[in-house]
Amino acid sequence: MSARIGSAILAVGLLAACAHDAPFRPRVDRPQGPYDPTPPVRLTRNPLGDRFPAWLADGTGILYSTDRADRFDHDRCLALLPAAGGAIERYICYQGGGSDDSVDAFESVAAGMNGALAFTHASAFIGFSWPIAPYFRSLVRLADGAAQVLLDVPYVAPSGRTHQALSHLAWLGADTLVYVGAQVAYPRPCAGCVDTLQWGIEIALLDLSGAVPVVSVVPGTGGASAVTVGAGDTIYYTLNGDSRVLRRALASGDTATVHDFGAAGIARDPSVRGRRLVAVVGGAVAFYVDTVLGPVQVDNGGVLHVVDLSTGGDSVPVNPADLYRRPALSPDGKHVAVEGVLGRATDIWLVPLP
Amino acid sequence: MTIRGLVLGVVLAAAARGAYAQTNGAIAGHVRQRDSALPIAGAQVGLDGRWLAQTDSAGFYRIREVRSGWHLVTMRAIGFETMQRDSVLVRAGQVSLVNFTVDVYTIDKPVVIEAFADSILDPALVATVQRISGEELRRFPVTTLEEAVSLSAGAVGESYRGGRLGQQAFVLDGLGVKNQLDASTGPLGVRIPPDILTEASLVTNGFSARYGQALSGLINVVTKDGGDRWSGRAAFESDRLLWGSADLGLDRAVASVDGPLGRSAGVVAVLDAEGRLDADPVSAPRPADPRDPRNDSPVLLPHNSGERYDAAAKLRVSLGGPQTLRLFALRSADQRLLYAPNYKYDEQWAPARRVTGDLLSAHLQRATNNLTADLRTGYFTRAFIRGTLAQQPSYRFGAVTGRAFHFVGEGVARAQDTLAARDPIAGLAPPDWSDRSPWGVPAFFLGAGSNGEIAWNRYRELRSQLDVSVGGPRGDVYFGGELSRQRVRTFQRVLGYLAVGDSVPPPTASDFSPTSAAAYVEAQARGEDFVLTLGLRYDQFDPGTSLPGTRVGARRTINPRFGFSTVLKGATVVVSWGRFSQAPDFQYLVDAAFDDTLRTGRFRRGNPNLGFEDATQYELSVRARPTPSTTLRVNVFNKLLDGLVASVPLGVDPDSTIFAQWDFGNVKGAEVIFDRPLAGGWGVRFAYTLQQATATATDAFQLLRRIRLDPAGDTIDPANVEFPLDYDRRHNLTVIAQGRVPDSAGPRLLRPFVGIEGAAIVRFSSGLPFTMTNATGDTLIGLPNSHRLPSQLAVDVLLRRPVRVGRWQGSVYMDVRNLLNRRNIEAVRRETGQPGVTASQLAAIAEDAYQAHPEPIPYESPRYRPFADTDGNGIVEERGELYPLFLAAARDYLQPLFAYGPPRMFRLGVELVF
Repeated sequence: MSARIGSAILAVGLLAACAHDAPFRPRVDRPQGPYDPTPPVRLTRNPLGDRFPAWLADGTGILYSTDRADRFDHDRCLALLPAAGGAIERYICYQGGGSDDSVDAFESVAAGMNGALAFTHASAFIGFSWPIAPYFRSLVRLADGAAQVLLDVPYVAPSGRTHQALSHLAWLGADTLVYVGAQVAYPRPCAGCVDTLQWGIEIALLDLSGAVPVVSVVPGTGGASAVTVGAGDTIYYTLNGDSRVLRRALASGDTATVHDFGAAGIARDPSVRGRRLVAVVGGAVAFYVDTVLGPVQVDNGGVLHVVDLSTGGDSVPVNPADLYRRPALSPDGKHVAVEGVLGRATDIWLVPLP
Repeated sequence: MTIRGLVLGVVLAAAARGAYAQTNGAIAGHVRQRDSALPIAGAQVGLDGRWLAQTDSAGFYRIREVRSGWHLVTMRAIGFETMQRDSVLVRAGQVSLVNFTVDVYTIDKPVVIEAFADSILDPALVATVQRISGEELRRFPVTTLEEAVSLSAGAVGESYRGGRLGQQAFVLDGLGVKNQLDASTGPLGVRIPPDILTEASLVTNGFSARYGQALSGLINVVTKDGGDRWSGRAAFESDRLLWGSADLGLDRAVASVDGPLGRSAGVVAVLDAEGRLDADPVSAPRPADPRDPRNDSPVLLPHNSGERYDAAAKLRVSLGGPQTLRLFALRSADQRLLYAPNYKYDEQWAPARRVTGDLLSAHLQRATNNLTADLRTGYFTRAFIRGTLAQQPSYRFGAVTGRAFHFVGEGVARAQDTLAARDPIAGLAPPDWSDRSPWGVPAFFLGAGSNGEIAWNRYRELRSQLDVSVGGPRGDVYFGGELSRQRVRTFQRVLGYLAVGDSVPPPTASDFSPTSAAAYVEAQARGEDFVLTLGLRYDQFDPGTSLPGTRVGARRTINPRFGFSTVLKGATVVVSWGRFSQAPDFQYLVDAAFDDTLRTGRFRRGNPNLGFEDATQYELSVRARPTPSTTLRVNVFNKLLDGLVASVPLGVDPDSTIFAQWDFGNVKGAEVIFDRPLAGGWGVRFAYTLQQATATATDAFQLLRRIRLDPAGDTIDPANVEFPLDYDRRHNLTVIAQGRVPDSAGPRLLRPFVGIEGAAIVRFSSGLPFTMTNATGDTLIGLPNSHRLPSQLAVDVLLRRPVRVGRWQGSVYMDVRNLLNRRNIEAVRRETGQPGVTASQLAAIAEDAYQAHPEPIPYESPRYRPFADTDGNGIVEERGELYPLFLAAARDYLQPLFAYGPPRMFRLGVELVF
């Protein structure tokens, strides 16, 4: 090869080897951490409401239900926050047929080990502020980008009782959901009174291993107000008007009290990781027997308690005057994501534990 | 030879006809004795080794139907030495003169052979032809055939003489090729690689009755035959070595080879591939806001890349005697990402497009000097799809992906499954306000999903064409016909993420098989100093019975054409008249669902009963040679348009419209073309056009409404008013200058510049028309298209320096477009007459957006922007914090990007010729 040919090839090679400039790319200026890192850390500042926090199985993010003020239909969507706070990474909203003509709410989300999500979907006619009387409820699984309706609600459970709503969803393995079947009532609104009442009536299991989801009721859980899962087939639950947190092994049916908050008040919303239990106790909660509805528990938040199940030691890691709901322990048990009822709106808070 | 002598020579040679818009020309001349100038009768004249003609008693001969290109002409006569003239250039539709002068007694004495071609003074050439050769294409700063043709007088892009897009026809090696489905809104689908071109020409009037399907012009392309020795070319050009705004992400590679295959065959093959990171660059001003990402990189637009591939091959086989077979194959693919301002920050949802075209043709020719018959068959297919990409492309080299785009819902579209398409199309999600813009606010910018459009169509055509020409002593007769069987399939779906319902129109699909046929006869008679051409063409098309609502039977039209030319005082004067027809785009026969920017409706009802669109053209041309090396042409024309497709109201619903043929118009103008071909190291060409093009509707989708006045209770229905067409460019001047530094001339200091070639194209044109409206856009200010854009100026330059690499010749070159980096305005907003909105409009638009979303933005929202939270309370709220974001977003979104033409663009190239 002559030097000239070599030079020519080299010239072409150099010409081809240089890289082109790239077009512009968006630079998104978003917060990378919480607004104020002082514990307890306030993760959200939604002027409307944020509810039902739940951790991703790997602990990298917190899912919760958020009222979208920027949507003209005011849907309640699921949002995913980084575990340490910052900007929402993802919204999951209803986008099916008629979505623009209705108010839709995704709530009570549970994240499974395999990435599958389960949550409830309620829908009401647009024009209502968030549903006074949804005309449609369902239990939905979202896995691999595909949504599947598992249950239409209400339905009659094997116990013969009608589940008008579902709450406290949790995955018990890959193919089973555990939740509280609930009753709902809509007393006529009045000044200072709530317009929607929902209280638990029993704990149910939904087996998804077959072609058709199968509902079963956990015996002896009548009057359950909340449920969470522990190791293996163990569940922890609370009862309406009761200060105890109970543990039940589903296979054997063995039931025991793991902690009794006693005079501190009615216990609900337990969350257990290892030997650590958190629950909401006392506060703005009322249990009474309505002449029409029967036993009713109304919960507007309570005091966040942390219990060491090994020693039975009970502590309050936050200001006892502040009211919280639905605490969720992180997978490593070192943080609690919780719905704070502070002021008119509810937000998601992060409470570090020692 | 004097000009008069030349003129007389041309006329008396009674040369072959002006074979307008075809692949062939002719060779004619005389054979005379040197001393006495007496003619030699009975001398034989051959072409490329075949004896084809004999001189008559006056010593004249004529060889007809000579293919465009370089040829060897040989003359022999008893008692004389055989003489040859090599490298005689014949161009399509043109007569080359080759005269032989010999001494009758002594074969040792020198002979004189003159050879030249003259389409200027040849009265047999009736048509108005502007041509560019393959070699010029290489020398000029142009890349594609379309760019080259647009240098012609009367061309505005791909609009010719004010016509609408699609009113032109494309003729490749004598075979008509046309996208009859949507020529007015879409590309042809196949592109001819410039390296396979012998020449291309634009014929704007008076073309032969042999050709139809065109109202405004004919693009005639002649491709190379395989040569008698192997040669080739390889080139690579790019702007990679440059930086900043000079690097627009361009890469282009070309490889071509041609040569003989044995003694009786030849082959040509060309591959031309190009990738551009920004396939439609604009020179829009840099945005002032530093938060706008375009502030740092104002030239390259994201999601605007394009790649195209053109591969062509041709095989010529001599079958013995006068028979020749030519097989041609061409495949083109063009895929584009389409930048959409509303998807600026979520570009993966912006649309994309892919157009492919294939052409296979066979040409069997039997050519003798008295009778030539050409049988051609061509299969042309074109496929188009636009929608949301199923997967974003992965670039391999520059903008080259090397893989075909695939689209969401493509399977449904190709299957034309309108039933399945009533449901939401899998993979499409509804768009939502983007939260990725620097401004965060829910306005203007979209994300999460595309616009949900999927449009697909495919057009196939099998065309057979027979052309026969018979030559006589005082005239020629041409006749022939063609039969074309087509198949049209279309599918359109909008808002595909939603089920069909009240607010979502149903998908549209069609599948029908039209048939077109044509026949023609044309005769040309030559007198002592005139040539008379008469032609008659019959056309018909039948949409077929598979199209719902169509009437039974074909639509037919007969079009006469007439041309008369003579020589007056050294100039050739041509008068021509003709009627021309073309079938309407087949897309107008079926329903159209679309989402146009004018919001004139998203649906047009198809009309399967549409007939031909017509034009009647008158033209007077004067051609002269002011000096032996210069030419001057003046054309004056008047073209009447009738029966053009427009949208007309249907019923009382203001958005209910149907395609109909109520549109008519008129194009008139004059062209002056002065040319000094490259000789003595320089050449120049001026082309000036003065033109006025008006009609009642400027394109088929434009709603043609009559103005109804009701001053006293009665409805007044005034006559339709013609207004300027979209391509009504009044003044257009194109100057092309060429030069070459001589090898030997110049002082020593200039030695490095020896051999450098250069070409510059200067284009100045007055502005195109546009329509102004009031601020709300619902009331016109003045008539449609009664306002004008600013004038445009562009200077393109190509410099080439030959180099030698070993045994190979080559060159390096630099091609610069828009050298002056002039910011040409190509479009304006209708309500302002400017590229952008006014400050008050901007404020109003931002205010509307704010009022739609005044809600506070909390800290955790992906819309939260710390810089906007001026009180630092973790919430962007209230007008004081929110409105500036909406204002900035509006300013960002409304940047008038595509109102501006391309910026200065460079290409650095290396070429090897072997």
